[in-house]
Amino acid sequence: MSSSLEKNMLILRSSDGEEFIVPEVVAVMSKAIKNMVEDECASNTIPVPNVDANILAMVIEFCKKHDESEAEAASDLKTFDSEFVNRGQEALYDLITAANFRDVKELLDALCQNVAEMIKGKSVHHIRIQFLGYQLFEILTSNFIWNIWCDRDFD
Amino acid sequence: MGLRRRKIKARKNNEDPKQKEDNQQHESSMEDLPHDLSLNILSRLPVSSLVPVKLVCKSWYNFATSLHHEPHDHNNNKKNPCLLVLSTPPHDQNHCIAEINVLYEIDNQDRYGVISKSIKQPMNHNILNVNTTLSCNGLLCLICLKNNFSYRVCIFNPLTEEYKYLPDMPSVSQTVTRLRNCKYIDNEAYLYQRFGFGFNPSTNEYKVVRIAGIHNVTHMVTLKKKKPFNWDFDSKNFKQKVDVFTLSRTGDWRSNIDMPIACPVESSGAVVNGAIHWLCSGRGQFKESCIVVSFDLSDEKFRVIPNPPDCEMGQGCELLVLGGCLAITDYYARQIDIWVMQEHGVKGSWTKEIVIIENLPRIVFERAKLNVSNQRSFRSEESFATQSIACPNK
Repeated sequence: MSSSLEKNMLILRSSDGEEFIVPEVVAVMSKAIKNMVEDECASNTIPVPNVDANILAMVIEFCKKHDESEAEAASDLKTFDSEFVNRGQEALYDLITAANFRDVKELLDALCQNVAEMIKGKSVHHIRIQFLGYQLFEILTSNFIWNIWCDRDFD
Repeated sequence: MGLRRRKIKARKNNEDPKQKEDNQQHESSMEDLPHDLSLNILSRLPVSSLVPVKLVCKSWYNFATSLHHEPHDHNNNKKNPCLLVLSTPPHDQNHCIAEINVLYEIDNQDRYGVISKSIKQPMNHNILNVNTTLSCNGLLCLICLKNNFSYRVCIFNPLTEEYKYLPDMPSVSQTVTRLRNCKYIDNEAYLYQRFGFGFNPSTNEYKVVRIAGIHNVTHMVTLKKKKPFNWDFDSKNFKQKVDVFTLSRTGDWRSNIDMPIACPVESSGAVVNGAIHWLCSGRGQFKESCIVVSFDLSDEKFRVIPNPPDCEMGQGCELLVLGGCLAITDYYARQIDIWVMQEHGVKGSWTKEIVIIENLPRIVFERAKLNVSNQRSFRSEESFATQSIACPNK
């Protein structure tokens, strides 16, 4: 790396060994990395364990956008956020854990809000299938048992 | 653990490769998220969505219930006041309650939305109908008429549809004395029963208050017939009894409070400043001018609130809460005055805030007044409504 980079560029290494060159202002949006930089225990490359290249790229994309558009209208940022978090189940899960481990507050907020929106107004069965990996036949059996349970005469 | 086992079983049963892939994907399900993250997500849900969430799995049930019981922030609901309106269809002639009720929410920007379309009121085959509905902070207190014509109180949270019947109220006493061949039955009879429901912010407790006017009636029973021995109203035989129920884990009715002053005209009172206020008339004299009596929920004492100046407190008056202050609507010939007490308990702070004078036909006013009272019957700040009933579940 050239010396000009050293001042405000950091290198992040994902769990599967891929390296990303990121401006420091963007990297320190993660509180965990910020602490490392402030304590000066960060050498040239900062390892980011538990996060693979794919997810790390997404996180960096998010942070970059938020860093650039600080001056921009908040509504622009909001549409970007809502499009960004609109992903599949698995990516969403990985992103949430990554944001939690790296302590990126804005990303965590946006993701949690998104999941909450997905849960809102759904039925029990829907939530079970979508979020907890239940199978349809399990639901049907449990429903059957539940109906028997409910038919008992209380009081 | 059980869920895992079921998942493995599911995989064995389904040899379809696509299904298998699905299963692997679900290995990283939302259930495996750290607890603080699950809480973070669930805390963003509105209260009504927490009901299905509770039924999803055990850990989510625990999260949702812990969210319920989280101590709520009083400042928060002052910032975001909202009004919940529960509209219930009129009772039909058989005194049955139709089961479809609609719960609307109106927020501070006058937007409204339907929260739930079919709220089932807690019903029990012992209960004839709901006589009165009181409300405080989004919780409803239903005064139900039982089929033996006594009242039973039910606390109901319409957002989560949780309910709790309170234990039976202490009933009137009956003593029997025998003299020669006559039997004298000393019966206590209710002249009226009025209720109040309020929240005490200093102890974070809800309290239900019953004020009962009891009159002694003595029956003389001979071998042939039973007839009332004395039944005229007599202040010697009349007493007013106050029972208080505190909603807590070991709640019961306590009845050691005297109410010497007056009798409330109607059950619905206004809850301001940790005290329930009723419009009361002089004892036994219902058409006289009224006074406002407050019942402090923390020290459980009755006090008289001074009337507004130049306001004839009579039949057209109603109490309500306006902007956190006690207010009186005075309704007379095509005019509604709304008096607001800026400082609670200070006579000089009564101000005539709003005067509505319109040359509208009387019927419109009648309806307007009805709407006000309907809305008052269910006034809430939503963050309060997240609190569930602090009573053990049945």
